[in-house]
Amino acid sequence: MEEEVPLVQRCLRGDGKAITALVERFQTEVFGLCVRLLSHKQDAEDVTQEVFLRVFRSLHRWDSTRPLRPWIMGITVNRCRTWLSQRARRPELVDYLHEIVISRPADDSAELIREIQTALADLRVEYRSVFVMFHEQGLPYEDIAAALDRPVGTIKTWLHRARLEVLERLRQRGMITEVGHELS
Amino acid sequence: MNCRECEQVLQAYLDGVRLPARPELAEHLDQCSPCRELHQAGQHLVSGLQKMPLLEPSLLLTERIVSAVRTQRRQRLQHRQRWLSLAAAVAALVLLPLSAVLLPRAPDRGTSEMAQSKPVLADLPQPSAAPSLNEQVEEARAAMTRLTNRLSEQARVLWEAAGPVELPPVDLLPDVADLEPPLHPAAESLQKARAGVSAGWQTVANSAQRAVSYFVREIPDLPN
Repeated sequence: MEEEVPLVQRCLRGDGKAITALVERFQTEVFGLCVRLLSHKQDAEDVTQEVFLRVFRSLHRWDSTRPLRPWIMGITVNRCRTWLSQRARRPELVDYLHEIVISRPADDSAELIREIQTALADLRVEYRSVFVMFHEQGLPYEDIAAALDRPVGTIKTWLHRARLEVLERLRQRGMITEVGHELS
Repeated sequence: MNCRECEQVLQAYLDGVRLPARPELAEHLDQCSPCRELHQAGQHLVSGLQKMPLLEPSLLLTERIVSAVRTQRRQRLQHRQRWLSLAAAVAALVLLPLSAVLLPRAPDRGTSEMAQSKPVLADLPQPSAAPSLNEQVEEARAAMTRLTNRLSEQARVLWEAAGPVELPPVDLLPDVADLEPPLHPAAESLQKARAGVSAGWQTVANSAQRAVSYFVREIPDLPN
């Protein structure tokens, strides 16, 4: 995979292939986070496009001593927050009650996955962002802190609270079959 | 072990840290139903997250985004060029009057001709050889036109000399794929900027000339 700095430099020169490469490299993560934060596939695609427009408009301001991924994810969270605030002012246009954006697995884990998704949708945006970036996208604490421009301690606190809220919902919904005492 | 320590173990487990088996944890979970249920839910959460399907955007999203990015780049370049032209025109409007007032009046061809013509007029036999008002207005009009053209030319030369400093940033250069192959992007951008600036200056010069002409036309003819 091409290094980030040369790729960005080619993008800044207007290289079409570099632009496509950068979009392809990050669009799945950006879209995944948008879907989780917006709970709506079409909105997520629209915001994904907005995110990349913002990324390319601000690319010359990117600090090349830092990784590109958290910077893009930070823009993603900000765009999603803006979108959510705008959407809250026009709820009558579309029913946004958590459109199902994934196909259900065929096995008996469908119920568990649905409960997790519902629990995530009920989290506040900051908690949801941290949870998705850590558990679904595998970002370390430091990268999440850079993306959200918060101290690592704050990110840990948010993630722990998010987990407890999700676990509490799973517990209330009966997702607590006996699995033994030891966590391994 | 208390409930707080038990929760810390659970958070470490969800962080991906695998701790060795601890008898005190098992003992606490045997006695504390809320903590036991929380730990069981945690194991379900890890299991569910591993089975969460990958969220994929539609196949055309990449193409749609790239197209939007290209359009945005073109629009920003055009916008920047328009602002450069406007800035040049505004600068000209400010600098031209200032130059006319502050710069020392260099002896040019027009004034030298006037200076040379004075003795000739003085040598004429008629005592009423002083130039008429219409002639003076015509001379003023010609001088104003020459001055405007000269200042416009000087400003244009200065602008071209300072051109590379005002080049747009590299990221605003036109898309290579959208340009003709023989043209270098930097040369293309510079040409467009120069064309825009020249057009701006031409407009200012024309406006000044029209203003002088209008001023002259509005003065009624007077008898010589």
